[in-house]
Amino acid sequence: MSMKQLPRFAAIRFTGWLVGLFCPVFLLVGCGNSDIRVYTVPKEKPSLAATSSEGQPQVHWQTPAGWEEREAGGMRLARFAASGKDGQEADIAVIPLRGVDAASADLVNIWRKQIGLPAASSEEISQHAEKIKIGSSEGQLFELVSTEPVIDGKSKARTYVAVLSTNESTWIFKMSGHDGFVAEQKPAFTAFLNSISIQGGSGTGASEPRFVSTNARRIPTGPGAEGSPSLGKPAWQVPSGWQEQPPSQMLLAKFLVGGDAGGKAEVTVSAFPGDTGGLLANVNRWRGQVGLTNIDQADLSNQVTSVDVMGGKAMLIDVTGQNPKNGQKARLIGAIVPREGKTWFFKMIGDEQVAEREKPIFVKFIKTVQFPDA
Amino acid sequence: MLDRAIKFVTSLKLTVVCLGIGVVLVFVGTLAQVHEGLYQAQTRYFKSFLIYWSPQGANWKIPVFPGGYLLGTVLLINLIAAHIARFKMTRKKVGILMIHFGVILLLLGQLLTDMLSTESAVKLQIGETKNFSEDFHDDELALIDTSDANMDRVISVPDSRLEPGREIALPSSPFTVRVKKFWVNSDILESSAAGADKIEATDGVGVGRFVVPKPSTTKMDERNLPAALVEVRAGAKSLGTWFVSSQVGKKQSFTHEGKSYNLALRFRRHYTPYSLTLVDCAHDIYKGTEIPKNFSSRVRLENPEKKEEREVLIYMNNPLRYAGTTFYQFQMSPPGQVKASTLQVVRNPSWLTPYFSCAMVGAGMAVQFLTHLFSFLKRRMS
Repeated sequence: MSMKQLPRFAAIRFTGWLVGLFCPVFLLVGCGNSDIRVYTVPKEKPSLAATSSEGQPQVHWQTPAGWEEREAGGMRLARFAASGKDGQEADIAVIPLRGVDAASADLVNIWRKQIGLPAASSEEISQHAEKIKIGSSEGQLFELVSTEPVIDGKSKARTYVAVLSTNESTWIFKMSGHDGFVAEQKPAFTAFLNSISIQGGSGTGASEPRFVSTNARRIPTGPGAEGSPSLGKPAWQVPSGWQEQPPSQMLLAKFLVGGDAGGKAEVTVSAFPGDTGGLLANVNRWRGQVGLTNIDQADLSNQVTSVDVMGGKAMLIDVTGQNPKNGQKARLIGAIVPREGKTWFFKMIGDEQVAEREKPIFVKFIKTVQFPDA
Repeated sequence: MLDRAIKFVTSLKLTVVCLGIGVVLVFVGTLAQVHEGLYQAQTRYFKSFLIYWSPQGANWKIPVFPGGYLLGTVLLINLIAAHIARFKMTRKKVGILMIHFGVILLLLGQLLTDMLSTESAVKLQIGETKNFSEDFHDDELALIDTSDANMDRVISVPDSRLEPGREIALPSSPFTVRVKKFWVNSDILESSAAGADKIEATDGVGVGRFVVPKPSTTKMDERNLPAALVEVRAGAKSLGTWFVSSQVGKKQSFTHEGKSYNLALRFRRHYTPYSLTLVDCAHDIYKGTEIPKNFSSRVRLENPEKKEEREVLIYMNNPLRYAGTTFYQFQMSPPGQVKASTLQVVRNPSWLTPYFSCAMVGAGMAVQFLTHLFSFLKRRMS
C-alpha cells in the first residue's frame, strides 16, 4: 500500500497510534530528577558504628576471676568471656561511642530487640534503670531478660547493659548470655564496672574509613562522616610563607614552600592507623623517593634522630638524593610520629637549599601540632 | 500534507540517515569520553535530545547535532510507523513481526532504563543501620525539619536547581532559599591560599574558612564535591547565610518560630521502606600481597511492613536482589581499619526488557527460518 493510497481514516488512526505511544514517553522525559521533593523519614537512630578503633582512649580495669579476655573487634574496645556449667556462657563487651550523645532508651532498645523484647518507651526504660558506680562516675544499669528461650531455642537470654555518659562520649558495658549464668556473674560484672578507669580520648567523633576496591569508582568522604579531611586536621601553627594547597587523596594537609631562586619544596601531612610497616620500612620508602638504596636495621639508628613533640617523640630523617622524575638534586626531611595506634607522617621534599632553610621551621611546625589524642 | 508527513516518517531513507547519524554519534561520544569522562559524555551525547555547543566563557549555546534520545525516538517512530503503514499480517511474516517487535521493545526498554534507573551506594560500618543509599552523581540541598520527636520532614532541592542568584521557594515551609554562590566541585581550607575564596557565611562551619573552586572532575574514580553559599529567608527576613558542602558532615542548624531545622548539601538520598544493618564483613587478600581476593558482607535485612527479618551474605557476583533493587558488593575498608563495607545499589524497573526483547528477536528469527525451511521442503517434496 503506497502512501498516496492511504485512506483518510487509516491516516488518522496512524497518527493516533503514534501520539498515544509517545506521549507517555515524553511525559516521562519531562519528569526528570529536577523536582523538589518533600518527604518524611524516621529520625536517624544513634548507630553503634559511630565509633572508631583509631585514637582509642585509655581504659583500665581489673579482670574478674574466671573471665578470659578475648580479641576485641568491630566496635568493641575490649571483650571478655566467662563459662559456667553445662556450656553456659557470658559475653562481656566494652563499647565506646565517641562523639555520640546517645539517649539510653535508644541504646537499650537495640539490645531489647536482640533478645526478642519489644521496644519500650523512655519512661519505661528509665523506671527500670539502676544507679551503678562505673569507676569514679555514676552510670545506669539496665537488666533485660528474654521472655522466650532465644539461645538455641533452649535457654532464655539475660543482658546487663551499663551506660556511662561523659562530656564527649557514651560508654557501653554489656554482659549477655544464658539467663542463669549471667545472673550469677552480676557481682563480678559490678566489680568490673567499679574498677573501670577512663583516661584520654578527645571525642573527635567517628573517623571515616578509607576504602580500597577492585572496582575503579571511589566513594569520597560524604556527609556521613563528622568532619572531612580538610576539616578534621589537628590544630597547628602554619609558618608564615607556607601556602596551604588543597590536599590530594590520603593527605591531611599540603603546603607549598617557595624559594628565592625559584626552587620549591612541598610539605605534606598524613596519618594512618597501625604502624604502617614500621620505622625501617617507612624510612626506606622515603629514601626510595629520592633515589637512595634501602638501609638495614643496623644503619637505622645513624639515619634517624629523635625530636620531642607534644605528648611524645618524632623520628626525624634527613636525606639528600635525586628527584627520579627530573634527575635534579632533592632533599627529603621527614618526621614519623607514632601516636596511640596511629602513625603520623610529616614530609618536606624539594629543592635542597629551600629544604635547608626551612628545616628549623619544619621542625618547629611539628612541635606545634596538637595531636587529636594528645 | 498529512500524507507527506506520514511518507516522511515511514521512509527507509529516514532509517538509513538515522543509522548513519547514530554511527557518527557513537564515534564522537566515545572519543569525548577521553576529556569529558564517561558520565558527562554519556549525559551530553547519548542521554540528550540535542547536543549543544557554546564558545568558552559564553552564556549562550546552540544545538549542533541530534542527541541519543532524539535519534532513538525518531528511529522508534520510523520503525513503528513503517509497520502500521506498510505491514500486512500474513503467516509467512510472523517471524519478521516478532523480530521488529523485539527491537521496538529493546529501544523502549533502554529509554525506560535511562529514565527510571538509579545507581547509588550505601556505606555501612559494622553495626550500622541505614534505610537509604546515596547517589553516585546527584546531590541535594536538604532542609530538614527536626522538631518532631520521631520523624524528620525533608525538603530536598536537587543540585541542578542551585544556580547563583536563583531564589527557590521551599514548598510546605515558610522559607525561601537564595543561592548566592555555587561551586560544582570544591575543596575547603582552614587558611587562605592561592586561588581560595573567603567564605562569606554568617553562620555555620563556613565562617572563617576558605573554599577552593575546582573544575568538574571527569575521572571515573572521583566524584564532584559541590558547595554552595545559601541565604535562608523567612518572608522578607534573612535568617542567615550558610556555607553548605557535601564534604561537611557536621550538622548546621537554626531555629525559626520554635522549630529546629538542619541545612545540608549532601549526596542525593534514595530512601527505602526497609533497612540494612552490616553484621560483619570480610576483606580477603591474596597471601603476601595487598591484592583483594574477595569482599563479602553479612547484612541483616529488616522490613517492618512485611515483618521480614533475615540475614543475607553479599559477596562478589552474588548480589542481594530485593524489592526491585539489587545490592552488589562494591567497596571494602582495608584490613586493619574500621570495618566498613559499601554496597552498590542499582534500581532498574525495566531490567527485564532486554531479556524479553532478545528472546523475542531470537524466537522471531527461529520462526522465520523454520517458515522458510518448511516451505522450501514442501516445494522440494512436491
